[in-house]
Amino acid sequence: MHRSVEVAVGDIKIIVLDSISQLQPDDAGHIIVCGSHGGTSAGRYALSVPIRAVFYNDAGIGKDRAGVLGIEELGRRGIISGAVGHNSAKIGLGMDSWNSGTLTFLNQPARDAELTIAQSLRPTLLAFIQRLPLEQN
Amino acid sequence: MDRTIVLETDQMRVIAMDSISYMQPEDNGAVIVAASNGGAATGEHAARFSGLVYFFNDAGFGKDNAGVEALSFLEKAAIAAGTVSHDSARISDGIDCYESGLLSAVNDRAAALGFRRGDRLIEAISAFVGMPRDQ
Repeated sequence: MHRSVEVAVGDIKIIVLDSISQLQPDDAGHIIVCGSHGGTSAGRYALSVPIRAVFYNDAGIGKDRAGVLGIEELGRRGIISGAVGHNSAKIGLGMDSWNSGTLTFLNQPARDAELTIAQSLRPTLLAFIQRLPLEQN
Repeated sequence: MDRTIVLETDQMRVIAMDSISYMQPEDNGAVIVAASNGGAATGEHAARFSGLVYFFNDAGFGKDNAGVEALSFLEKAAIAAGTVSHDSARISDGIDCYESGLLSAVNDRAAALGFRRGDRLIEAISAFVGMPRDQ
């Protein structure tokens, strides 16, 4: 399964994974883009390492909004998270989310960080990572 | 629940799990209902084990039908597999996929075992498990 570092600004990286289950302790503090759905189990994986933000595939949202429930739960814990649309990026392929994904869902911390839906994920995160050092100072 | 035996007979077990990543070697030979998306990575993970039949969530099919790509991948590996629709069952909820899922796609191997698009998964599995077996 794919894993790559696509961008690094200062100490913060954007790491692309096919599955959130590939998350490692070293990923702490970084921004994760993965091809997983944003359901409850995927949200739980993201809680296992203190990452800065994580982006999933919305899996068509589906029954009871199951495709984004994990993202909402991360939001309640103050973690920035969102999803790209399942018609914009192939589920299971992190690089397709990175290259082609369009944001369809954002949790409250993501909206507070001034991310917006209907935008392409890649330029959104490139702008976001540039803003981060200023926000931290 | 992350991983539950939902049906067990003398000859067969049916195990529902919220993600294929929860599969254990002891699950080999069982019918696996994993509420992961049915994408390629899920298929690759499933092929590392020896489930008898796999069922996933179709994640709305999506771009290039990525949500059901595991089915053709597993077909090439001679493994039966199908998906339930994302509107019938919650992705990431194995029990809901088992109890409420409607089959939205099956590969040829699964079709040969009697699984059909449109079937309720729980009924199709019950019929399969009750089926006389000569293998």
